[in-house]
Amino acid sequence: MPSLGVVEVLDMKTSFDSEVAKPAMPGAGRSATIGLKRSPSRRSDLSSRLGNLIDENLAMTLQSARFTAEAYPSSTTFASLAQAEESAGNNDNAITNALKALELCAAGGDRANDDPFAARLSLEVLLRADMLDEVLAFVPRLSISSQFQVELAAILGWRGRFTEAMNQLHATKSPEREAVQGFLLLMQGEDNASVPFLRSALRRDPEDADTALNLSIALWNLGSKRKSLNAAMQARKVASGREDILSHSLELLLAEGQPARVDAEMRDLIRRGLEPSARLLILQARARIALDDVTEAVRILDRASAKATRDADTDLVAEINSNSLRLRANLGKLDREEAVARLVSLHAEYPTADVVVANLGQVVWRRAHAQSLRAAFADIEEQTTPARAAFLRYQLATLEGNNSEAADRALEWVDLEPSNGSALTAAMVAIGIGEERWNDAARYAMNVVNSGSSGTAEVNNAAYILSMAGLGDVAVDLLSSHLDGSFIMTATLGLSYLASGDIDRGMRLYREAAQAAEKRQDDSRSLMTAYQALVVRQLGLQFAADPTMVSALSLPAFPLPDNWQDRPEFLRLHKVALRHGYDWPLSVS
Amino acid sequence: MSPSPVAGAEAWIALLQAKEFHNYRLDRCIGRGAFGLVFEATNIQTSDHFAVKVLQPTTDPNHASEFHNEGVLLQHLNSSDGVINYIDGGVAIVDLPIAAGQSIPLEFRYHVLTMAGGSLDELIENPVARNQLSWVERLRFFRDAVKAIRQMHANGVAHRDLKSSNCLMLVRGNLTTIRLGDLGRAKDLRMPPSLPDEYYMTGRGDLRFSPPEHLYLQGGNAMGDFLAADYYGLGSLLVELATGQGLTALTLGNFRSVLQQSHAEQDTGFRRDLGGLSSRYRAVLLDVVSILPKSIQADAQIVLMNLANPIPGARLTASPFSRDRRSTEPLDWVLRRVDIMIKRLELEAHAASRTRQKIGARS
Repeated sequence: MPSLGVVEVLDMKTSFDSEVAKPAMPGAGRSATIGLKRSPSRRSDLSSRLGNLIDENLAMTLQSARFTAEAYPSSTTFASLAQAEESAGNNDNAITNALKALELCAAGGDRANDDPFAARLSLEVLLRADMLDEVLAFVPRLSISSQFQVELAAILGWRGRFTEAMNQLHATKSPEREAVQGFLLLMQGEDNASVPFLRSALRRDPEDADTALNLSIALWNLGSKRKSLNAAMQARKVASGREDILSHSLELLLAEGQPARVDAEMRDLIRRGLEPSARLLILQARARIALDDVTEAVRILDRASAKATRDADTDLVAEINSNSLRLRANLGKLDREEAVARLVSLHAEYPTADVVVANLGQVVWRRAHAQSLRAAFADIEEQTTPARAAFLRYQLATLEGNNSEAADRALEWVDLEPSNGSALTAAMVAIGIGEERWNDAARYAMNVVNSGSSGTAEVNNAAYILSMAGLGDVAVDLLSSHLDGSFIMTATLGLSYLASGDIDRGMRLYREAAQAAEKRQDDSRSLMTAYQALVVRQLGLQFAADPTMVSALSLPAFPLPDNWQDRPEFLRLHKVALRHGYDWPLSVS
Repeated sequence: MSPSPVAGAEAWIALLQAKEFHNYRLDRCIGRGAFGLVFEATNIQTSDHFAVKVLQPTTDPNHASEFHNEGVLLQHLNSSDGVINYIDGGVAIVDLPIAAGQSIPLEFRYHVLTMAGGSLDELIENPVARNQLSWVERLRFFRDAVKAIRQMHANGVAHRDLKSSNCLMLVRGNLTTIRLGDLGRAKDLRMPPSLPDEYYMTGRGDLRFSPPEHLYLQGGNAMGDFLAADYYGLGSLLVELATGQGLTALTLGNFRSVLQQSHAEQDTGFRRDLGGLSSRYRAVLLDVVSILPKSIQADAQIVLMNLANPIPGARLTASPFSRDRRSTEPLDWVLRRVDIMIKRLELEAHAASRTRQKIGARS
């Protein structure tokens, strides 16, 4: 039952962590290429022959580099040998030769001995050996190109050593420094300050894909969505093979409400030979969800999961599988109890993945689940985002029937995520229905009215709150433009008429809704009856009108489900009934 | 031909030294290739000096095939002045002593080639020697290599192993020119592929100079694939002349990690888009260009970005300059651009010399 005081957080919105693009280190796009289809080497003998040829080439390279360094010892040949040794897996030899080359470079000290690329090659070998401090110690003694100094600043920034990075950058006059300065500022969260540097760098070199991507990220963070998209498209134009750029641009299109375009672009890329990565498949699945094709989205997520598993990307596997389980539960393709059990076991497998717990928090629905959720939450509480933590605390309080705590947590959640429909609904339900602070709750309900939101749960709960806050007419207007034929909205419309004083019409709508609810053969009828009894008392209708008539028109008593004490939606009403000293189960008579 | 250590090579050198291969006496070993030895030799009748390349008899059977292939292609290219001349060749019998008074006859295949004064790597592997080379000289060497590759392609042959150590220097008076040697991996483009797919995927050769498609196991066996690999080789050669290092060495870092990743991806049917390497190549090439004289940086950047594009097909596109569009000869635009760069440097040098003269006259 998606409304009437039930905050249904189990919806189609996915909770993927991979939605935020990361800045690109200038000039380092090597690992971010997209994949194209090719026939896998099904024959293991081909794979084995390829392996042999790879070993031969590595050996040949090492042999040649060793002989050359022996025959013509110089910074040039030692640097080359360092790289060949590193590639052969001889790390100690690699470091020894890199240091030898660097000493020769540093000892030269005049233009005749200048060998900046031997220095560069050797420093890169040391950097890959995680010897950044040794590299920094050598740099002042070497004649290295300003381009490499700028790259070094970017590496320092990437490792979070911003002060050293800026010092390194200030030591160069390279025109490329602006791109790195922008990158460093972006890495430190100074989006506004980064934009002029990135813009200027991009004007100087329009084909610098890393800077275009970084500019797009900065502009997006600043809320300039159109400009951000333009910069992302510029990056895509000059680096069509970069997966980070492709996925960032698709992410922006999704956020801009263009899922059809994302889906069309993905289909086109796949038709042209793209072998999508797990992250690109996630984007396509999210587009299909936005297009209301959840069944296809789940199929795509299955493929994404297989790829992430193959790549041994455990964080991504946890992310995809937990979202997939939740979507299946939402589609009704997986029993919700089974979904809870599988998410609990997924959490045991990936105990640090907070996304699994977030999805578990959306699937749990009984008080009995609170224990599992609380245990899982304790594992990730320190590392999860504040909004996710607020949601999980709200969900725990709700499951345990703690109305007061649920209201506090719902407020915390909606403050952190004011545009999240589920957070808004949670605030209205917890403050209004749970705590009966109707005027406070009405502020959030009016947000729904003013925003023109069309979400069923938001609209229905807003109408409920407005009715109870004395704004029955506003509630009737709101509901009238959103009626979807569901018994839930019909019942809430009945409530709105009751609140407006039209008892006869209100009760009639309630009865229509109750008949429809009874066909569902679940606990909707029982909950609806309890709600009607509560609102009749809260509105004081038994005093304002003929009590016999009210009693005659109202829904007849309906038994509570056997497990009502395990059901948060009944526990919430029970708490309210206790507060007022009403009989339980609630009834009009 | 830069020597490389081959197991047992010393024993073969000792055996062959001073032996006569028909009309040629092997004087001294001047180089060792992957599967052969190179001797300076004297023609017994004319006393002229030549280089004799000898195939070691203990090597892989594939090497014999490559050695034979090299001989055939060198003869085919004998009219090209960009390729080392093939003079003669055949099989010589040399007795290998196995015990006192006993020996067994061994067959040695050999090619007789024009004697070169050395190879280009000898000049650039030492930073002092490299820094003494003027940019005009370096560009002239590069131009010779471009011209040689253009001739080879026009004759239906791809070199496939372009690097400074395979650029042989011929000295005639004051003029040193480059000729390409070591055609062991060359491909006759008129013939269908003769090796299993994996040989073309990986390329085979020194990884420091290999095109990226070979490190990502995406090398192909079509004519365009071979031509694109040679174009990359030219770009890498210009980088070597400027820096002493191969372009792939400067861009791809740890070869093993790239190869292992590619091998794993090949097994699962994943093919990486080489366009994703553009940023890295761009950064390195800009760094290389930054050490060139200012007046030629723009042209050199365009030449390098085109020849060394990580996407093989993109290397083969027409000239980026509209004035070259009428030319139907591939690489003509590169030669023209190199000529412009040389001319510009010469004019600068001339202007500088005149300025110095004026200053000298005033003082």
